[in-house]
Amino acid sequence: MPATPVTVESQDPRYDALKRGRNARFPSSDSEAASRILLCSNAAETAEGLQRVVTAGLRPTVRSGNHCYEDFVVNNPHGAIIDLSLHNSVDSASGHPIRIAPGATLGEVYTALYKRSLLTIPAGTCATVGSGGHISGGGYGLLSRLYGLTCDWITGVDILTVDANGKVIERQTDKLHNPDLFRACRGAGGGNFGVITNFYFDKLPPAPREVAETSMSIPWSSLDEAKFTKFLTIYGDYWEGRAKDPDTWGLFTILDISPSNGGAGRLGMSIQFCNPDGTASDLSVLREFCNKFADLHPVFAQRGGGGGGGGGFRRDAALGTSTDPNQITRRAWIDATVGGGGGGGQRAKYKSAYMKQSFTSAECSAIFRFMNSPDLDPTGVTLAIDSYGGATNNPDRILDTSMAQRSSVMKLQYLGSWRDEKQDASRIKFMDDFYTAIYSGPQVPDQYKGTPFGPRYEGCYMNYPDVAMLRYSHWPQLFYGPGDLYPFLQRVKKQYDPNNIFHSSMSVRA
Amino acid sequence: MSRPDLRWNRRTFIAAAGLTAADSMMTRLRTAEPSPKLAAHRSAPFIAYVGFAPQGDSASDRIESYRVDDGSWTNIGGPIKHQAPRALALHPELPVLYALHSNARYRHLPRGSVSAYSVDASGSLALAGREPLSLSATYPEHLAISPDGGAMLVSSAAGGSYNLFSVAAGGALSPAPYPLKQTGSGPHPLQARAHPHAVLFHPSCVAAYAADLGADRILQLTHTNGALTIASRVSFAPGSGPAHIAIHPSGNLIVVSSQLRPALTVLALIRQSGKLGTPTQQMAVDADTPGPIAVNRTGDRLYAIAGRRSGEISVSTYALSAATGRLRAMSRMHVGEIGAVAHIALAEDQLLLASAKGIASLPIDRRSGLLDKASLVVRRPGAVSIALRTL
Repeated sequence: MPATPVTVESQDPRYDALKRGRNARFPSSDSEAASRILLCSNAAETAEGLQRVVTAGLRPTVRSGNHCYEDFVVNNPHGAIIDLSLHNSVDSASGHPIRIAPGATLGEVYTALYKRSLLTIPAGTCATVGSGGHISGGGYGLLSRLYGLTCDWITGVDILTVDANGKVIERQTDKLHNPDLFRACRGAGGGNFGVITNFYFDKLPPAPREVAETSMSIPWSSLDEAKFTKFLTIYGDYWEGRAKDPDTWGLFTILDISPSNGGAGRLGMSIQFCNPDGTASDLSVLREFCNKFADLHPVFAQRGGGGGGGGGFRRDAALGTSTDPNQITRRAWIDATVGGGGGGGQRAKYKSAYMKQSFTSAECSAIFRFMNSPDLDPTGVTLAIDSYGGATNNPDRILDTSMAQRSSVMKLQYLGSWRDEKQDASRIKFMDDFYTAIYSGPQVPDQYKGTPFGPRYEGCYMNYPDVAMLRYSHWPQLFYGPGDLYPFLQRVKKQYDPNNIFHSSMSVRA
Repeated sequence: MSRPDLRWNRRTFIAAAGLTAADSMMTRLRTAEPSPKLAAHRSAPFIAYVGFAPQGDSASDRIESYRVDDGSWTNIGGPIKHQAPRALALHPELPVLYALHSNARYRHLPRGSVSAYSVDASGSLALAGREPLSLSATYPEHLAISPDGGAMLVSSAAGGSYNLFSVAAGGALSPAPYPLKQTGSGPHPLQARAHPHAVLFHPSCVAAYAADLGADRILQLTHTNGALTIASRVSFAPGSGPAHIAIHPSGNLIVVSSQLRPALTVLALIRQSGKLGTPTQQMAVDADTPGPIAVNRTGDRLYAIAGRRSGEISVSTYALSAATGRLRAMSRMHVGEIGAVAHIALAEDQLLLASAKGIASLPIDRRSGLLDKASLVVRRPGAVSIALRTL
């Protein structure tokens, strides 16, 4: 008897809840929603469900944690969502010490790996994100400066593809078997070639024993444009200058820039650090970083709170003060890592940019201008600037993964969120205007105006997809680099998905 | 003289069709050389809408409207800018023209689209709306409107899918068409994937039919509550490449033109259900590039385009027996080097070819149904689609 996934159709009480994405913008309308959701608990059920969908001529879209920023999954009119959230085991398999199913959330992965073997993956901060989408799109996180991207560690992938005649094929891929498809599964993003049913890792890095944390903020009221520029420049210069300094690779920060709101707002930075040995015994690197901003008199506050409180790295509340000048606290890495919620339920728009160098004055000026716009709604807009470089910039990994961005020192995420559907157009326009302005300065070559491309940039991150970038003819190069990666992915697409069964607004073009 | 059934006339007139070619029994066929002087042919008045794609230095993509009266073709209004108008179809009742945009992208997304134009009393067009096809439905090349005007079916060759639109009472297309994604392949290099081609509705609306050049099969498609499903299918020999279809006005036969192994196949259609039945005849045809086919309104003649690699085009006429479901070659008319013929359309007394060099007309003898010498009635390059509206 074939394994059979649970199928939820429109008359099912679960349908309304399961048809939705965490980004409340999607599905865009009832007519855009999928007609059914197939809840698959293992690889066999996934194969059976996928075969039924393909045979019926329906479009399958695939989800693990339901965090897709764009319309790739739940906008699927008349189609079927292959939901892998119940296929969430983290275990071992013959010949592979570590196997992670795509439906496992990052929180589940961190917990299982830590408790069983004191290992981890250098993945993201949001514990409810699903492994399937996160890892197949690269997988950055707080430990990426130390350990690289999660996709760098994959040694095998099980994937279901659909052959030219519509038959579902179970493929085991690694560097010896279907090596081109294996490479494509390491960073090109989900929903392009098939349905991944397992990731394998022959080895993984050790989970740090502890981390040191603090947070820093500066009120907008204390900043004019010159001071703002100085602040951003210190921040950018540090990451540009220390990208190749291994002693700093345990340091990770997210700088959140939110609207000034007439001076009432603040710039906030969350900071986590561990030494390369996984301890927080030597804090000199962290203190040196904090002291870089001393002239601007930032306010430090403690971070943390025991985890599990629904707040991720960005959202941990400040706890109070101590005698430490930088309000540094230490806690177990697992407590600092697991428990991040990840929001959801709001309408949202996201954009991204990789930066190879520090900020220019033109960028600083544009950010300052937009964040101080008198008519800007102060809620729900954030420019989050993550520190990278370090182990993410191993150039050898360009050749065996599908992550082309291996020279950047910062990755910017533009976040906008709101609740009222009537604000969709204005909010999305603001995000677009803001983003376009940043990348229209003299630092961007004329042919790339409006986009983070050229000598200073490395384009955009596919796991922060942004359909607005499709208006640029070089959008594939923005997300996959200017080299031969995108043509390679197109060849893989043609070979393994000849009928373009797996497609979305930004999938690799057939 | 009684007025003919308008719905039938319109359906017939917009019946653009698929590929075919010359007959293996060509030695028995009468042939004629193209007319050295391409003269206009007398015709009952009608409006012709012609889609043009860019060719060399010619004008850009557009739809042109012509009033055809007594053999004279006169432009109505100016050309309408329209990207890649690879197929046109008129609503059977309403003054609405639908035109595909055979593109890889619409609003930066990977899909084609279809526009609806309202037709005024003079025959001039005004854009009424435009709807995208489903994601991945790129480069659509064929469309059909159901005889009751309630549905539109579009095939996407590159996207390997069909899209079914609901058509509202006023002729507007409902958004979010129902996509039916296809898989399948064949041994020919052009058959690496499914390749939906011509689509047509059954005269009774009981079903639609589609030719899949990539998967070597003909499909019967039905739609219930907006969902498009495959009700029956007939597989052809691997490498056949069925591309174009024509349905007998009785609804009892469907003729299939195969492109990769040039042949004509007649299939029975099961009464009431419209299901695809057994072949009643299959005959090889002599052509390098078979072109569209069409059955005349009385159902006793089939016209099939045959192309040569040289660019030379001819049209073969076959007698079609509704009783036996068999074809018999009658004649072959050379048209000349007018380039690829993308679509054809039947007026009351002429067959019109949308070709690389313009619109060619072949008069039809009312008694015998045979074709006379061709004339190039519109000498503008890049004609890729045509639809006719009676006056």
